[in-house]
Amino acid sequence: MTDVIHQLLRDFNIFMLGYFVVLDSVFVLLVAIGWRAVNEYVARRPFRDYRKVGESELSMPVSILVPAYNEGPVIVSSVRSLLTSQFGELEVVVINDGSTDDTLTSLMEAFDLVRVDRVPRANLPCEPISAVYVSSSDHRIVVLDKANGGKADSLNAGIRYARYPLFCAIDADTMLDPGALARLVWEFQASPSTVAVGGIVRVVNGSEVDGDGRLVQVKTPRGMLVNLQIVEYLRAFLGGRIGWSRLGMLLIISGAFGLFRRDVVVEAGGYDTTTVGEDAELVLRLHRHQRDRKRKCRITFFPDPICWTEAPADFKTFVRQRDRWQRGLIEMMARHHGMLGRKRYGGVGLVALPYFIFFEVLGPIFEVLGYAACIAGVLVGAISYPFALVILGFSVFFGLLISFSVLLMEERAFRRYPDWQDLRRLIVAAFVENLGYRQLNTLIRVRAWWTLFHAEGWGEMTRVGLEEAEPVEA
Amino acid sequence: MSAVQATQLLAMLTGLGCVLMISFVLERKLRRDKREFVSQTSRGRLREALLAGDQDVIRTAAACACDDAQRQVDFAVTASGTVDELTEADRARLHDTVTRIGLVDSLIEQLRHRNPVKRGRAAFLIGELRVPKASELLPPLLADPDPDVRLVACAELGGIGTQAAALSLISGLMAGDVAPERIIERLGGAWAVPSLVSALEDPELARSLAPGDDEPSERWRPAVARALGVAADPRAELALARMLDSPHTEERVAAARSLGPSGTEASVAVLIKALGDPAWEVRAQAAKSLSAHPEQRAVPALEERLSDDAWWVRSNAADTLATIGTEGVTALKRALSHSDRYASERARETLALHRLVEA
Repeated sequence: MTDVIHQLLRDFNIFMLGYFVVLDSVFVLLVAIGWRAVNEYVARRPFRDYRKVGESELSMPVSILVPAYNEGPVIVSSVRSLLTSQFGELEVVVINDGSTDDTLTSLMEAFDLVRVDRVPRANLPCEPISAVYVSSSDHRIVVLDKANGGKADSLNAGIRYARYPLFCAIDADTMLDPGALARLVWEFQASPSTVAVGGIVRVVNGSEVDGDGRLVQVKTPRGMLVNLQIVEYLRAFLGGRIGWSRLGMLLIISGAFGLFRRDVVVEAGGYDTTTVGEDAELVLRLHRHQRDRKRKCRITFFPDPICWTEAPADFKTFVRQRDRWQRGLIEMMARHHGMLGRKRYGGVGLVALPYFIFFEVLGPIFEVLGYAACIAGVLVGAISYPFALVILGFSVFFGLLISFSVLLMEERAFRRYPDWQDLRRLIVAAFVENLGYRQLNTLIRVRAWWTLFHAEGWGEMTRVGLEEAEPVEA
Repeated sequence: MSAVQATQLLAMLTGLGCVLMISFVLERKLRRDKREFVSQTSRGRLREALLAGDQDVIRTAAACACDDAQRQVDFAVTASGTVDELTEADRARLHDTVTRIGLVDSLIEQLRHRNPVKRGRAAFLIGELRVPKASELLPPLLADPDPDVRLVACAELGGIGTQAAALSLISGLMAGDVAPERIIERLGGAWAVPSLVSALEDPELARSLAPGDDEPSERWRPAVARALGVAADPRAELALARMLDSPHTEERVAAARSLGPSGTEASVAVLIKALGDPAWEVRAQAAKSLSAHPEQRAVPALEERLSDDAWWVRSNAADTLATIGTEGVTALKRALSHSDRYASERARETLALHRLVEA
């Protein structure tokens, strides 16, 4: 019996070593591809005239959809901030999702809203809309007042009433860089097969923001938890999404900031209101929808447009957020498992989905079991101490390599944190991220499995607040 | 190997790796800081030299820009805007200096390079320097396989702003390698108006601009009309007014739209006539364009359009009425009791949105 247990532990530890080798190799490959893409972007940036895209009356106009649930304190400054975007033709559609606070009153007072009669331009399901308002002081502001239905439902309502061919879905508490929209629109104009473009989301905690919701100076905060998330976001966006995007297999566009072609999203059925990960689910559905119809489908990630969002600064909110992201990911994979291994879906079905299922959905379970088996193996003498160290060291070393690579990439291309003190904090965070934070995150993601089956129920509609961002897994 | 030895070895390797990685990050930051400083300084110095005509500094910068990518970008970014401020004589001296030092030949060679980044950068600098030969060098790039290169060629031809550049862009419009909107926004300037009008009115010229031996398709004409609207130049008025009689709806739509910014009071009559066009898109654009020339004589026709079948026509007519002063507002108030519910709703909304009465 003991021999059997020893053999099992040995085999499992060998499997885990292989698991880490493959996982880290994929990460390194994605970072390498990301490096190449960023270098090319940096080389092309000087002669790309993004300013003209923002100024030209012939650029594709954009509807910015802002779902708002009890956002009374921030909604007015958020709308004002969006209106300062350096982009010619845009409208801001605020969807008041049955708020119980003064969200609607604040908007009415600040923007002199007038009730109007509008016919929806698309047929997407959503909770009843009781009124449509337009600002008499700035006709670019439209407010929809509807019954509470969650973020996805609000976005569907916004899409129904959006006027323009592109829509940008953002969270009410996020800020856009003034030139961000122009750069995203540029992608649509440069390549007509583009269906959706995601932009990088960065953490605003610690930075200086003025009264109109505009970012004055970027800084890192003192708290370690937020700095860890800054490095994690960089790792996910610069280290993961650029790589996947370059391979044509991008599966996630941040719910906090993404630009979509309205007609294709409407045709695909809009946002799914029965999942907690509606942003990622939509992207996967768009891949499926377009490829089922044998159409070209370019869904890409652009590293420079920036959306700033607040990351959880306390552990409880952090755990809740990560739990929700993982559940969203699991639901998304469960719904679209039919794409798995199907040649028709190209790299998405053959590479990206298997990777996400094996390493992102099931990965946390493997990792926790692996750590447990490693410790048990050493304790019962099934594996040698050096072998256990090799497994652990491999994971930590490659983690550090990837974290530092994305810091290098950040310094090379974007330099959003120009101060030496910020760099020092990020270097420290890059260490801590690999020596405890990632492992903690793994535990939270395992917990999400438990939550999925015990707390919420499979596929059950979950009412979520609108303040949270999106999954940032690679 | 003992457990202790293994731990020590692993810790040592990881530590070494970490030190190396931190060094890389710090070195990158230092290098980038230095490069930005050098770049900023050299751009400032070059700008001063360009404005003062200091040929020594220009010569040095041009020599560096022949084969250094960053210097090429610095030169182009500095030249952007600055070269246009120079007198003809200063500009000629600048072109002479950069040609003598070999920069122009080097850039021409780079336009043929297989790396699209090099081609794009070279086109950018050639355009920003306003090199005399640019009008000949850049048009072939409108058909480049790389979209960035096509766009930079289009932008620089627009920046050069000569008749030759305008004709090249119109030709590009006919060829269809660049999205028409990107060409229209570059052609939308007073400098291009004579060429645009000639292309519309002279079939021989249009034929000569068409790529290949084929007759040009008619799809370029609405785009040219849009460009005339962006240019907002009254010299285009007559050609646009004539276009309103075209049998093609797209042309009439573009002409009605452009007569707003490019037309004068003389256009009001043709726009009023266009309010009766069979295509709702033309009626909607005509209603909108009339807001650029708010005249009382348009009120009856606009008031009639408040009960148009098309939502956009009703909406634009109401918005335009709101801009025509007392007569327009009176018409809107009259429409509040219109027998057509759509007309009265439109009037009510417009009056409220323009703060003319309470909603």
